[in-house]
Amino acid sequence: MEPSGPDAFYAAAARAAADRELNRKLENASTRHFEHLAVAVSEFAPYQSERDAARRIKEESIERLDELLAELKQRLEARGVKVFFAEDAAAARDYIVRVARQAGVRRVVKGKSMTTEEIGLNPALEQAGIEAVETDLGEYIVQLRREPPSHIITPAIHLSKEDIGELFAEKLGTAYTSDPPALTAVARERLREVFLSAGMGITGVNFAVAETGTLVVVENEGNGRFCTTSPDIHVAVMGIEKVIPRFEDLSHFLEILARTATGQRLTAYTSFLSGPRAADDRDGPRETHLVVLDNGRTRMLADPVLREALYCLRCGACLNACPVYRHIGGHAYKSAYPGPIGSIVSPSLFGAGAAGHLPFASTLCGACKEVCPVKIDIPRILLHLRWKMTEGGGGQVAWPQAPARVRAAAGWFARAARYPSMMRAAGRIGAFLLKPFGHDGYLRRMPGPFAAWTRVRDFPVPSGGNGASGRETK
Amino acid sequence: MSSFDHLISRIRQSLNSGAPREPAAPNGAHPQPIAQPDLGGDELRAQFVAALTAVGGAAIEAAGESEAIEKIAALLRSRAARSAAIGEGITTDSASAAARLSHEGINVSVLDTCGPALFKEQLARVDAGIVEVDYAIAATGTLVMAANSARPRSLSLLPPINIAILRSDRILPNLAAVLSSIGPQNIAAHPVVMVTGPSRTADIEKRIVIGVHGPKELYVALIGDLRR
Amino acid sequence: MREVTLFSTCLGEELFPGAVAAARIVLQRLGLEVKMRRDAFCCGQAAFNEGMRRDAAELAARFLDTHQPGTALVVPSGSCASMIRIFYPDLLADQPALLKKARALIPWVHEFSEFLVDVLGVTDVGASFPHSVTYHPSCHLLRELHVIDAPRKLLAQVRGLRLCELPRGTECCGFGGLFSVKFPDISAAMLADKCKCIEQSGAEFVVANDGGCLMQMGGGLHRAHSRVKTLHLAEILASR
Ligand code: SF4
Repeated sequence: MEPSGPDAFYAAAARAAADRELNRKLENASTRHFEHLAVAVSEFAPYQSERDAARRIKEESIERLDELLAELKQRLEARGVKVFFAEDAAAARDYIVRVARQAGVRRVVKGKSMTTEEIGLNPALEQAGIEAVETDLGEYIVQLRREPPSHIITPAIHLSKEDIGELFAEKLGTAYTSDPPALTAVARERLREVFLSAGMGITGVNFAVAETGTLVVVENEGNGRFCTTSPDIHVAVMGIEKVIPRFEDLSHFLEILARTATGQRLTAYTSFLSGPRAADDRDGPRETHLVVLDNGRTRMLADPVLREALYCLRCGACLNACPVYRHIGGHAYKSAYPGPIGSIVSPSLFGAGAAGHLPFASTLCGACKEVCPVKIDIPRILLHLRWKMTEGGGGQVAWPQAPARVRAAAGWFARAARYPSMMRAAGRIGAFLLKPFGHDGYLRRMPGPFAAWTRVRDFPVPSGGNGASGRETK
Repeated sequence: MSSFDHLISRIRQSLNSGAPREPAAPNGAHPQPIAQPDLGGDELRAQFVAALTAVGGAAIEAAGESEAIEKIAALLRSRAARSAAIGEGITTDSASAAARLSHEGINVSVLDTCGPALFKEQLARVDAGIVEVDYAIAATGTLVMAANSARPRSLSLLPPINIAILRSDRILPNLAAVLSSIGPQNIAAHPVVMVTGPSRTADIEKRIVIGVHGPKELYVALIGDLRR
Repeated sequence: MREVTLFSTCLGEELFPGAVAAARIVLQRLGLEVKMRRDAFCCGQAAFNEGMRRDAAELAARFLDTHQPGTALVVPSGSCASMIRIFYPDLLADQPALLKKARALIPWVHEFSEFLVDVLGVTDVGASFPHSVTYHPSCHLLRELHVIDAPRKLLAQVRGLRLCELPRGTECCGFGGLFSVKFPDISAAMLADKCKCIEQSGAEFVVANDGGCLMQMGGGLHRAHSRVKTLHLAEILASR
């Protein structure tokens, strides 16, 4: 899914921000997440040192990316895995559709993978007449609603159990219930048959170990295990940044990933996949394919500030920590990657025209970088992108009129602020003009670019520069 | 140039633009695994059982193999399970275990030499999958199993009840210890799965529900000296 | 007698003269000679945050030209202090001469509450304020400068003051500089939450160390006809 410019974002964000019910659901989910996280962290003393270790390994991995990908490819191919390097989304889609067609696959089961959302894989499969069924419960729910996931870890976070009960009753014809275990049982029963009959399983990859050629898939429901063991063909899709050097490095990541993402010590299942089954094996895929995707990541790599965003583990914690995300929800971002990290990744992958406004849609409060397990300095990277979209040659944002005027005023202010006495004179004039409209220290309406301010809150009556002397004379 | 060479050259270019490239970390400069707490066997065992219980699994403690099989049979009866599939043991004798269970009235399917398609179909109808595991992690209650043709991965996935057999001396303190015991050679040769509790989800309002696509119930028959 | 320089900041000059005056009084009462910074108006934060680095760098250059290391520079705003301390090095990364100046100045730049507690070692400034107060920790103060306890320590010593806990205190108020006017709908939703929490705290006053948050919370509370008033920490510390 790709964003489509600021207008759509403004409309969706305004609608979502006014939706108190959406906010309530996101607040509840995030409160629960942070309660679990706090327990998980407090009982695991090495949490902080493991974050640092994981970060250092990511730094090394990205620094040695060329070498590690070559090693990974060699190890995997030695075991019969077919490795395909896709320059962009279209190349990745075409490859996967071709593999499915050649094998006569009619039905594909999918594990949760934001990378396949990024490349728009499902529509491509459907166009080729291949049914693609999402099997993660949250993904299954949003697919039934024909909408994209709104969170990278909890795809149906924007829905209440009642919403889901109604959905199942309508789409699956089951009796209405809002009981989560009962709803889960329905999905289990429906998907069992689908798993056993699918010709291809498609999953993401959490870590790819260069040293051993191991693909690691982390999940809770068992659907990832089904997708990688039951169908005859397994296709794993990963961004180039997922490779890590050594097998033993995994401990540092696995010790923090589940704790941060869901507050678990470890997820229910961690699969270490080695490739196609041996001749006498009873299960496992006959063919394994790994699609390694660039799609703009080497551009991020070339930028020394953006490069840090490639350390992301996609744990989703920064989304829950973000007050903007919790007010507008994942759909408003119109990207496979919403929230703070999404506001970095989306413009980098989809360009300034589509998503260049997103880095600006943040107060830079820093709650994201505080929770990030690999300590990505998200606010700093957002600032860097704002610069790129303004004067750094990163492409233009088609700002709607109101924010464009604000930006023009900000530029004017910055240039005038070089001359303090001129600013103070202007301030005095402004204050003189505005003072008569003040009501116990506040103004209800302001002109020009400040109008957006007083649309939603009052504005303190300017003092005319009285603060400069440090002597209050009101 | 292949698509691979193209990609690698783009990566090299990108790495060399921007900040000067730092030398790759020399061997040994990478972070070391966290220390293993120095715990005795009893403590490890107790910690494992507590962690397993916390994630929704249950331990069946047995002094020896035959007691374990007896208890498994009793468990299966109490769960109204009529059929089971058992994988080849590592330390336990799975053939005699199968015989004992059959004797107790459980229909045990021996994993005969059927192909993957038929195997899947058969296994999907079985109530319980029984498999001995290679290691367990005390800190997290995790079971670690390396799969092979006689111990297929699906055994711990398709049947709604999963029973693991674990020797208590195979319990290691933490994840780092298990990864180093498996080692890079073994992981390259076999698929390995780590199981921490029965399958679960929190996709509906972040409420935890046990039993999604994988097993709904997880039991560990823990064989070893019992503290009396 | 030691000398310090107090930088009003643009919001302080134009919107919160009372806060600046109070900061000055508090510092003077501690026996310091306070000089006001009149040769700079703005640290450049707004331009920097909007991606206008050329303009921000001009302001930073001016700021660095007119203030030399050697005297403490006290800033009564967490975000302005973090602009100078944390973000000037980023902003000036490719201007070596200015970068050097910035690095030399940084150790002398302190946010107001941090200066009192961590530099002067003072927590009791002899203030008295017989009211209930809740404290909003501004994001930049908290997560960029990591000034966490200083304001609370100062408030704890104020005679008669009852400190009320602010529910979900560390949550952003939704100001975010130009964000507040470029994305007013999102900003307003965040502000509504903050105001609700302030009301829940039961306090008569909400205190913060940042002009941006004061503007946002003050404007929101006033629009909602709340009885809760906003104050800068210095205003409480200056009252007797
Ligand atoms: S940026 Fe950090 S917190 Fe956000 S998803 Fe990535 S790893 Fe998690």
